[in-house]
Amino acid sequence: MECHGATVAVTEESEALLLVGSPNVGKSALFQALTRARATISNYPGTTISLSRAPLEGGLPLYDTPGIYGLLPLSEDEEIAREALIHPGTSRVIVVVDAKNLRRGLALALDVAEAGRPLVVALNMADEAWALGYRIDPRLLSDLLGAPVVSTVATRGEGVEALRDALSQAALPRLRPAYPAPIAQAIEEVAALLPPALREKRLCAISILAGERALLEECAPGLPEETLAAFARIRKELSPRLTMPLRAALTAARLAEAGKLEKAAGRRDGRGFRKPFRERLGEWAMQPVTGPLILAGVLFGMYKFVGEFGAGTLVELLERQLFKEVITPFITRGVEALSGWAFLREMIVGPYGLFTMGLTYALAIILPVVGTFFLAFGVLEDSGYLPRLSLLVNRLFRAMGLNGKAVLPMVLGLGCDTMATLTTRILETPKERLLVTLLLALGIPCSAQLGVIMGLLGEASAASVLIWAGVVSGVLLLVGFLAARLLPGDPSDFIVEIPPVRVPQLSNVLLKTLARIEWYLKEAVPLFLAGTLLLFLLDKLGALLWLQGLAAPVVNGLLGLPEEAANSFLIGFLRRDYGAAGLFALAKAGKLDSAQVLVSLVTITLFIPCVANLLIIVKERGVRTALAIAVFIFPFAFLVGGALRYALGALELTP
Amino acid sequence: MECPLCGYAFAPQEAAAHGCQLCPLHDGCGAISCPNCGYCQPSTAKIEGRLRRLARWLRGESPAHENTPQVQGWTRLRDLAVGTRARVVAIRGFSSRSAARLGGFCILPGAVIELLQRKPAFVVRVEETTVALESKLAGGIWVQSFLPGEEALPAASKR
Ligand SMILES: Nc1nc2c(ncn2[C@@H]2O[C@H](COP(=O)(O)OP(=O)(O)OP(=O)(O)O)[C@@H](O)[C@H]2O)c(=O)[nH]1
Ligand SMILES: [Mg+2]
Repeated sequence: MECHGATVAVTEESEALLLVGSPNVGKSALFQALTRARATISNYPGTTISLSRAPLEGGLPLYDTPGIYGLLPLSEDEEIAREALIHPGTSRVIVVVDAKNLRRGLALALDVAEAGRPLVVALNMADEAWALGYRIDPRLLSDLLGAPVVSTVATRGEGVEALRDALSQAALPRLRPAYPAPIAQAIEEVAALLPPALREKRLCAISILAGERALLEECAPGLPEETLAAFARIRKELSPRLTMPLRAALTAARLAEAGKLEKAAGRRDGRGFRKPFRERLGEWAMQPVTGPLILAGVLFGMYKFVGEFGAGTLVELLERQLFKEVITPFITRGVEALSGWAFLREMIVGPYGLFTMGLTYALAIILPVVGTFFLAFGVLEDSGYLPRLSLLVNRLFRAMGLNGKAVLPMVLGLGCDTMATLTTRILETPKERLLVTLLLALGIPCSAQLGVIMGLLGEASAASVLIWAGVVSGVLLLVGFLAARLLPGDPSDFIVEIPPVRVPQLSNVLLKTLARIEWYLKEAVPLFLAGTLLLFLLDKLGALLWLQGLAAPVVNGLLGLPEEAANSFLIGFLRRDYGAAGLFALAKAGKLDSAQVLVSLVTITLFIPCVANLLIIVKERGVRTALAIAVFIFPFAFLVGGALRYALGALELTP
Repeated sequence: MECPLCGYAFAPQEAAAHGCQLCPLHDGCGAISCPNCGYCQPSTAKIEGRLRRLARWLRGESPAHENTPQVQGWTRLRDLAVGTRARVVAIRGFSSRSAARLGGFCILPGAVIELLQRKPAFVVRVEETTVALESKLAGGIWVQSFLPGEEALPAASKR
């Protein structure tokens, strides 16, 4: 998850460098080591989903890209990486290779070479390869390949200097994979018909042969009709001469070439390494009995740390002890001393005061929760647990027309729905992307909201936690199940790479947490203040009571909540977590009984996503989809809340 | 279905919506035109497939992927014992997209693959890459077990 996910496009520079490679090989870690800019580094494929850019020491810009499996993209994030690669401004490329998967990495390097950019190969994760007994000679490899090869350990900064120095010697590899003769010939024929100055001529030819049009339109638009007809003819002639599908034939040829390189420059020392305990733990996390047990343990741990420690102890400490006792009285006195103007005083420290409400909610109630959540989540991300979880829940997600891969955006949604909506790019089909966007907007509470909810429910009873979780996941399952049947299109097959289990690095986890807290403060606090100001003004104008009256049939009639609860839903339009914080304050004031707490929390959980999330939905899926989602969710949330109220009443349940 | 020319996977409806609708013969010419490249293939494949599936069902066999290779010694990954290693000999019945994904993980004919677990999903290992895939797909990966002498070769020396 990237919290500062501003999308960058390669700009018209005369020269820019690009990091490319398979997913999860340490591109972002190298980016960070080379530029000292901050990058999100996590132990799962699909961390980086857009370009980021920072200057190298010499001043040249370096771009970090999403991971790719090859240059014929299968998902949106791969498309982004390829687009950056063939951009005219991209002059040199660093191909990042996982040293312990040398053959696979070198095959990708040979693939990237077809784009015609001089390159340098970084053999990253050299430490892990060494520990597994792989001994690779980078110099020999470099001689055989015809491009510099440098061994690196990105996380420790080893080899980064050497890599920087090697950049000036970047070269187009002499070595070319030996494609089967008919393919090689067809590539030559197509390439001959393309503009001679085109650097990525061969790549373009390959993609034309693979029946892909996007690249052709990108790099050589407006070719005459006869040329296009010639392409079609070459393809038609090629197909009967193929013994296996084109892509497979290309990959096999590259792997064979890479295999030769590997054999010449690498060997394996000794055998029978003892499997480290963490690897065994990783295996257990995927198996039928131990897997769910470990999942339960993880959830329990998260609940203890975020729900009880963060939302309980820390909030108590900050809100009760620090804000109520020390800071608020101090500020109140200060404001009173400075200004006798009652209006201003109330605006800052009144019941809807910018300080007493806006800042107190943001800093004393939500910040501790968000902080503890991001800390725990960072540990989880870096351990490599998330891809294992996706395997475990694949069956369940199948019922919702998705596959286990969708776990990643859904779990990231628990951090922030907005960024998770961007992460849907890693999903393969439009249907899956739309479904996950909908479910995120509907019922995945972000960390801030989750924390407030946990804090409230934790105080009520364990039963209410279970009912809340049961209702929300039931609704998600049901809506997913129905939407999967209503929306056109197919889900994709479940194929996911499982990264090794790694011990999370404290520094990386802390850095990520800090970056995310900073992002939270930047994004949420202004909205909190704006919301408070709105409430304050509405209150002053007398419109608040009128609005409460207007909402009474729903808030009071349908949900059975006190009319003041309308305020929370009102500010919930800005951010759901702020709405939840309003409910928190209401409950703390003793105005909600436990059933009312439950009903209001279920409603606010399913409430309209925050403004930022809606904007991202508009950007990624279009205005119509965003509107449709909002129009569906708004009444639906209240309906579910109402149904729950009557169900609780009928069953005479008092959670 | 998949276009034999360009490998583009599509549903017959999609073809109907693209090329076939414009064609004067669109009602029952017996051919389907690929929406990507326009190549026409006979659409009897579909009926054939149904018949084959029916025949299999009558024989009491589980539904399987098309084009089952009948070579001695070949088994599906699905039927391999956990913990054994085998050589991939064929990849059948995959959409071109999934086949490309597998290729990206080096799961191609010739690769040596080890089955780590089968439930709740299959997990295989190729060299140092670990990949999870659902059981449906494990039915389409055909492998050949090693002969007694052959399998003694350690992973390292084979690489
Ligand atoms: N042991 C070791 N771990 C590394 C090294 N480089 C990166 N890692 C770890 O590998 C994982 C992936 O690193 P990233 O930098 O996020 O990888 P990426 O290539 O950017 O991944 P995507 O953005 O998902 O494609 C993280 O857990 C890193 O800590 C290395 O040289 N040695
Ligand atoms: Mg990255």
